Amino acid sequence: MICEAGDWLRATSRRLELPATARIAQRSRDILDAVDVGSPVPEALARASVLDAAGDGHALGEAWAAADAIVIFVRHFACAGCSDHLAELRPRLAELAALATGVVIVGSGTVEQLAAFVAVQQLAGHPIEVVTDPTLAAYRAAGLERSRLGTLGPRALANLGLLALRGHTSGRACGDLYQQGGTLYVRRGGELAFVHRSTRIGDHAPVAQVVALALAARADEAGVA
Amino acid sequence: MTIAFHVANALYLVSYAVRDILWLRLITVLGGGTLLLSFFLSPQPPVPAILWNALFLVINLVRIDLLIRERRPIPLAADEQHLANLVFRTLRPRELVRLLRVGTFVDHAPGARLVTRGQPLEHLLLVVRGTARVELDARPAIEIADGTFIGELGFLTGKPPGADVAAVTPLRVVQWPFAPLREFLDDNPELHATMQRVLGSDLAAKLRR
Repeated sequence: MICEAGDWLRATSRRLELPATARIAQRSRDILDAVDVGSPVPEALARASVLDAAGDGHALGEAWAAADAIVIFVRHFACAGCSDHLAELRPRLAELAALATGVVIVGSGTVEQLAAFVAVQQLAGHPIEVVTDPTLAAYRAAGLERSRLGTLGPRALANLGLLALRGHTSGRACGDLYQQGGTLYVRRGGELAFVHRSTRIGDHAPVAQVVALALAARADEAGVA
Repeated sequence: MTIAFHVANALYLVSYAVRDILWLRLITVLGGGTLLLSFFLSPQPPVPAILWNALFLVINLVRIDLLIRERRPIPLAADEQHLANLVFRTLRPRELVRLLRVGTFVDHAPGARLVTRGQPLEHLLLVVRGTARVELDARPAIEIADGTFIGELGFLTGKPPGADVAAVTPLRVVQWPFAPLREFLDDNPELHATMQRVLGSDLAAKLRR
């Protein structure tokens, strides 16, 4: 397996020294202010290039060009919290497809790690797209946090324990360990209807909340009472 | 005294081996009772231990009573069974009854107006029996029957209804007030997911028309 559980903390300590970390965090905060519900998604997010399972590049904005899209940024492809999030989401995928709402998972690992993630999470055959953004350009454009505290802080570690009790454990980071995830609901054409930015491991938007957005959008279109 | 003490612990051992929570509690109560007996038979009964074990016994007995009540089969009335067959196929009878109790069954005579376009609605309706006519702007009127929702636009978006709805035949509906229904669903995630699923199916069917 590509993302094996192991001495990820040692790998983490090496990454702590990267001088780019602080700069990325600052840029994230700058862009965060520009991402507001009800406004169009930033151009940088729509144009951000992500890789599919074959390694081909696509603009993330293609996801919401023809239909509403739920875009879920996972922390990394072996994240326990994201595994828990997917366990909640998986039974609702058919329902979202019936509501003409696409679901896109964005990770930050390699294309090989993406393939392993799809296999481990048993996503093949489900109406869901999985892509990766190794440069973190889409994460930054979405204003998602990059935080050591969100990964190694006491609340994050407590959440890891709770997730383990539910059967979700973290493997070795398949992507950026300190990058936090998030969920966006983007209406067809690019209007941002919902955004949740995770602050730590185990913090994700309730699936029922994004399904409610898809239902509301379809109710509007159906012209019902 | 010693035998009773060992029997009690053997019962605890058995209780840890069973998977069903009701059996676990039942065997624990037997173990607890036997342990109490062993305490009483001792030359100097340990009062604190007796009191603590009596408390555990009471808690377990209360939980056993609740578990048995929850597992007791519940008969559905004809209309409830009709909705179970038509809309809420995945719900257990007890869950369905809890959901339906948040609302009320209301009967309407033919011609009664249920929804007026543009006027805020306070209830989500589900047709139990009968037919209603939905008149939309710039679209032919449609008739809806058993198992169809009315007022979902308001429930899902907070917007006023975009159609007029009137009863064509004698009409029985379940009527859920928005606020208590939302509160109930927030407190019951599984029922919330089911409600979203049936509303989604209903909307998908309406979009196909």
